[in-house]
Amino acid sequence: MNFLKKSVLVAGLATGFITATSSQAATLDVDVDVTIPDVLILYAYTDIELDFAAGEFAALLDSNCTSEDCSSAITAAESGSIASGAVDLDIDSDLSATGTTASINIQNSWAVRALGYGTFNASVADNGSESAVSNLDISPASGTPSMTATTGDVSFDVDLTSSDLDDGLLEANYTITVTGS
Amino acid sequence: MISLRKKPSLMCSAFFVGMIFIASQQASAKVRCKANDFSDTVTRSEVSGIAGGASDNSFALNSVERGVIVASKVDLDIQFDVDSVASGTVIAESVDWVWEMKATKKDDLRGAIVGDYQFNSVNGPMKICSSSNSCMDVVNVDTNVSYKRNGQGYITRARGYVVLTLDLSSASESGDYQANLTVTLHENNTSNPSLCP
Repeated sequence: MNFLKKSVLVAGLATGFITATSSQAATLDVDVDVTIPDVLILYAYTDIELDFAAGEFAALLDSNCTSEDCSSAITAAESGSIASGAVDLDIDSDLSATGTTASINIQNSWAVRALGYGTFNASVADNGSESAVSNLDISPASGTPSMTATTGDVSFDVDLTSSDLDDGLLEANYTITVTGS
Repeated sequence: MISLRKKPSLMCSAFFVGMIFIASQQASAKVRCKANDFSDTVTRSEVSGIAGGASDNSFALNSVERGVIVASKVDLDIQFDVDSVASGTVIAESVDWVWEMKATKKDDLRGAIVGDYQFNSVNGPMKICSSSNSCMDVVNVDTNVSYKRNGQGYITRARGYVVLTLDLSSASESGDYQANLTVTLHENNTSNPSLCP
């Protein structure tokens, strides 16, 4: 019986040893190859509606104004000579010191993502804006693109004396072009 | 008396031989593992999220964007919308199996085979790189395993098809991206011993 016990013990140890041997850590080696194409993507809003904040438009015309309806005192002494019961103070010449042009900067309104291009060049061209709109510009005009979006701005000037503004609406239409190289 | 004492001794010897036989049978029952290279070509549509295969695409954000001009400027924060339409990730999927494991009933494998995946590239772990300047991050590894089992449910063959989710936000180059992948196979849980000898 002692021999039987020893035999079982020995066999059990042998089994356990072999089982342990067969479960040692081992690995498989795999070469991973993924081919990525070159690509350049321009993102842009196609319909932008902007309003001036309260007081903002008046301030463009006269920096002293912070509300839509304001009075702006011209405090310099004005002198004149009355002739035939009338005097012309020519206030227009004093108004010329105030603004007639506003620059509007639409920040972060376009973006580019790219793979496989070292640089990008951006441009903007007018595409039928009203005549009050001029000096369209884009920023940045160039850069190093990546898959993380590079965002940019479009700016333009508005002639505040233009009759285009009479209806309270100004329309700017432009085309953004981004090329990679 | 002597003959009576010898008989159990012979039985014991037979038992011992039997155990050794069983043990040696178990020793011969080792799983066999093989690996295939992983290769995939990601399309432009997958990268851009735009249908069609052109290298240059424009993506119009058509919803009306509204803003209020303050101090002659307005910030439309297009980054938010770009992130919502372009996740910056792509899926790379192996056409063929990446690993294969063959076993027998003696291996006693009836559960699920799971893989532990370790990527190593020129820029370190869990990246696939074209150079030290441009890498994709491996953000997720899914495995579709096809099993072949015998009538008693023991696995006789398992093949793993790997699906990678890759983050392109750190990538800048096109072309071939490479990494070494080390796969360790386990039954049911990666904390269990490796199956491959």
